[in-house]
Amino acid sequence: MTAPDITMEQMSLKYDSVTALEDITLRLTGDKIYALLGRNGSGKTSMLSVLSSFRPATSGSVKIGTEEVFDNERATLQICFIRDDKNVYEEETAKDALAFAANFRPNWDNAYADRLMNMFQLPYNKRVNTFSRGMKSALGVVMGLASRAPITIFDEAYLGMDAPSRYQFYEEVLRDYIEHPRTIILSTHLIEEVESLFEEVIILDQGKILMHETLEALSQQGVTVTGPAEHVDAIAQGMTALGEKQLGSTKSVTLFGILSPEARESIKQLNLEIEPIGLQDLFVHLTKKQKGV
Amino acid sequence: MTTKVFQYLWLSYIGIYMWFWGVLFVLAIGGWTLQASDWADWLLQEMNETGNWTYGIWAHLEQSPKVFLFVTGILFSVMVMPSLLIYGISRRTCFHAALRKCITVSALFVIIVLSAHMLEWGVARWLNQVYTFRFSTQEVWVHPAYNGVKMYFDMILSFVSGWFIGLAFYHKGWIRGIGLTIFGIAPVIVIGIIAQSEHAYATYGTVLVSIGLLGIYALSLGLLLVWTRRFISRVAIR
Amino acid sequence: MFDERSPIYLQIAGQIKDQIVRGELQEDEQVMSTNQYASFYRINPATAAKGFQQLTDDKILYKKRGIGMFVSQGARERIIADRRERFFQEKVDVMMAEARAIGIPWDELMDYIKQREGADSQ
Repeated sequence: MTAPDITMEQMSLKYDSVTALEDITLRLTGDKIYALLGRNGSGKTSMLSVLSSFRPATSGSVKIGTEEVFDNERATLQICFIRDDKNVYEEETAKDALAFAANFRPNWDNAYADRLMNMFQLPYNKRVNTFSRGMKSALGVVMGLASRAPITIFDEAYLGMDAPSRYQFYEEVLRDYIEHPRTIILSTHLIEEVESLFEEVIILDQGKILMHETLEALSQQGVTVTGPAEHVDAIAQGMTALGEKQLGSTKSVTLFGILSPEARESIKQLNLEIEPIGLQDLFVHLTKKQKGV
Repeated sequence: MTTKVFQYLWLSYIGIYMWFWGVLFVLAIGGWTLQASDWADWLLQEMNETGNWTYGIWAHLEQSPKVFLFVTGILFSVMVMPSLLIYGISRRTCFHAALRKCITVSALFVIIVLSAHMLEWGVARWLNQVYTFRFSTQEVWVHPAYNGVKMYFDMILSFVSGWFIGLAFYHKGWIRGIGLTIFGIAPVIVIGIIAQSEHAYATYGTVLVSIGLLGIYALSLGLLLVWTRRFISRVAIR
Repeated sequence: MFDERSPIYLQIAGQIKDQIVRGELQEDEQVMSTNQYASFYRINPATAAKGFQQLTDDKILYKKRGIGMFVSQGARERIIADRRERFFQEKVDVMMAEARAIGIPWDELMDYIKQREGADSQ
């Protein structure tokens, strides 16, 4: 069974007088792994909260399949939203939290939850509020993965987890996604660590969608061209420059967009250095540019 | 889903209820033992100057379940409800399940309190003590049996006002929460004042005051529940 | 694991081609599935699928519905022909440009190649 599509139309969210999200229109087809990127305060958590019915939108619509999400169990029971904190009632033990999830999550897999608990070496019989930051996060990951919800969202769920546990988390996301395809949305600041897992990337900036592309398309859109300043400038002409650096007569320009065949040819002819830029660099350039405009 | 959540709410609270009533009964038995011994003069004073048990320990302990329900009402809003909502349970389901829970748990608590009174009365009779049923506001009511009804409304109202106040803080923040607390506790205070007012009792008579009180219960419960439902329907999970 | 310069799907396609050239994958032999590739290299299955798509477009692999991907007849020859075509431009030209830049005379370069060739064939 394919996970239902997510459709947001002209969705806005205001906190009192502050606009957190403005006019979000987005369509996410089912069974893909999405990256949601954005700087602090760009509205990532707000958007995911509205998507998960954690809070109502101020205007616009958010649907899962054909169901309007807000306060609608036909939609909300299909969503599992794991945040960096408060994923379980912390006065209780991990065992109680898992039993609660088993009771209320329609697709919960007990055996899988046990395997993950083991993997992250989490104790069953200790109260969650005695857990370290990393252990709480790992428990969140267990809750998120074992719920097997058609739409599973991790919002900086790795907080406090050390590098080995984070990599276990990523590996498990991919492994379980391959076995049980579903829509997974990962909101993260650690882009380089997870980049290869993504199929599509959404970038939020100041409450608006800056970009929604496949990772493939996006990674072809950023290049850095380095060489003698006059040649580099000639190539850069007419394209969006995200940044430039100069060292003596050598110039390096980061360009956004797809290079024309002519440009590629002249880069070759002039023996300029050309390098694709990674998603993380591209993200940094794109969101830096927007600030203060 | 409402039934499932309702069942969950019962199951997860059974331990806390047993603990609470356990403590109350220990207190009651302790009070009785003290009363039975001569070195508890102060308590006897408290009971009756003649040393007769005109009314028993339970007339005093009767307030505790209400306070307990008030506190569980607050905790429901700030702790239980959010943890239900994050599992995809709707606000609507949450409201209805909590309401059903409140109605049933209040009934259970009334039955427990009345049974404890009966038990106390039986023991008092057995020990040849003078004992009359005595509830905190007995005089006002046309017939002692109505005390059960009043107690039931009191229990429901205690939970609902806690529920409302907790939600006011959770949904509207600290400052507006404090303002709304006034509305949350107003019914309890108003009912307390009227029920204990000799003046009202003398002026209007027991029947009118009793009917008036029932009216106030109905009205304030209605208003608080409508307000609670409205708050819940837009509440954002923190 | 992957060099950053070319898209991952091209690198996957390249690895499969390498295996075919080295004879590790024979004609009509089944190739690992996209999912196996994805979990082995820790990449999104769609990315792996794109590499496979390119190989089927180039007629190096063919698909048996519901079973998997297999190496096409003559795939090895086609890959080798393609690589031979690009060998001089991509490898030799680059080497010569570097030799010229750092002043290695052609004689020395030729001597080195002959010497290596002799050493390798022993």
